Amino acid sequence: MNLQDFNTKVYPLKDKIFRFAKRMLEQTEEAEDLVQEVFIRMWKNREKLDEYRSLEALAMVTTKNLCLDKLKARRFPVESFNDQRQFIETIAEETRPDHSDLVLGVKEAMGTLPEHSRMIVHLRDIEGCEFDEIAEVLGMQENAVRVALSRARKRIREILINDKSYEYQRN
Amino acid sequence: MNIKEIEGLLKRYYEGETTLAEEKLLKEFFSGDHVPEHLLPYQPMFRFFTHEATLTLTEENQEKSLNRRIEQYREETSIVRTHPGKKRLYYLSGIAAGLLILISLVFVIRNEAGKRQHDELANPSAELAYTQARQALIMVSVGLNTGIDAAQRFKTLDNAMAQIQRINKYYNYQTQFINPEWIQNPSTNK
Repeated sequence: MNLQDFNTKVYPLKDKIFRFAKRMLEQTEEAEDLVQEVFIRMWKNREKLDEYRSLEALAMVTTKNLCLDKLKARRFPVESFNDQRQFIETIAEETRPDHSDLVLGVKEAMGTLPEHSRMIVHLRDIEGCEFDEIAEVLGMQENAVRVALSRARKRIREILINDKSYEYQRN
Repeated sequence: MNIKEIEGLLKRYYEGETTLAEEKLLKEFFSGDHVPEHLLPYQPMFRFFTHEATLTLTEENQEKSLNRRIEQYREETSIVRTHPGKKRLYYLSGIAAGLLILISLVFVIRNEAGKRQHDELANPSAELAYTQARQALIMVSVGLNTGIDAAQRFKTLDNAMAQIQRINKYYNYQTQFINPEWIQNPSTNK
C-alpha cells in the first residue's frame, strides 16, 4: 500500500477513530493523539494492509486496543496535568451552548457503563455498525453483542429515566 | 410516523432486535419536534447519538496533535537514550565482576600450586619419603643377598674344617690305640 492508497482508504477513518477514542478516553487531546498513534501503527504495517478483509475493522481493533491500554495505564494514577486538563475540558464542554443538560446526562450515563458495553453502544448507536462488524472488532459472537447491547441500552434508560422521572413527577 | 409504531420500535430497540434502518427511523423521529410527552424522556438519548456522530477531527487539531506527538517522541527518545545506557552499564558491571572473580580464582589456584611445589622441595612429601625408603630397602636387600653368598663360602670352609677335625680325631685315636708310646715318644718308632 502506497501513500496515495493510504490517504484514500485509511485516512478517511480519522473521524470514526477519533469519536471511538474520545468515547473511551473521554478526553479530546488524548483522543486526537490516539488517532495519530493508530495511523502510525497502520502505516508501519502498510505492507500487509492489503491482506486484511476490512481496513475499517482493523483500524477499530487497533483503536480499541490502544484505548484499553491507555485506560489500564490510568488505573495507576499519575498525579497529573492530564487530570487538570480533563477537569478544565469537562467544564468547558458543560458550558458549551449546544449541549443541553439532558444530552450531557446521556454522556454521563454512557460514561458509567463498563468499557465493553460502552464500546458496543458507541459502535452501534453512534457509528451505526452492523452486529457482525462489532463482533469482529470486539472479538465476540454476534449473539453476545446483541445481548450486551440490549443490557447496556436498558442500563442507560435506567440511569436517565429514573433520574429524570423524578423531575417529571415533581413537575 | 405512527406513535404506536414508534413505541413498538422502542420496545424492540431495548431488546437489541432493531435493524440499523429502524434505528435510523427512531433517531429521525426523536430529532423532530413532534414528540409526544410520554416519549420525551427518550429524546435526549437519540439526539445525543445523532449529535455525537457528527463529531469530527479538524485539520487544525490534527496538526496540534502531531506536534504534541513529535514533542513526546523527542522526550521519549531522550529518555530511551539514557535508559539503555544505564541498563548496559548494569550488565557490563555484572560481566566485569564475573571476570574479576574468575581471574582472581585463577591467580589463587596458581599461587597455591606454586607454593605446594616449593614445599615439596623443602620438606619432602610422604610420597618422596616412601620412594626413598623403598630405594634404601632395596639396596639393603641386595646387599643382604650378596652377604649370604659370601657366607655360603664360609660354610664350605666349616665343612672342610669339620672333616679335618674328624680325621685328626681318628688319627689321634689310632695312634693312641696302636702305639701309645709313639705318641709320647715319637722318636722311638723310627
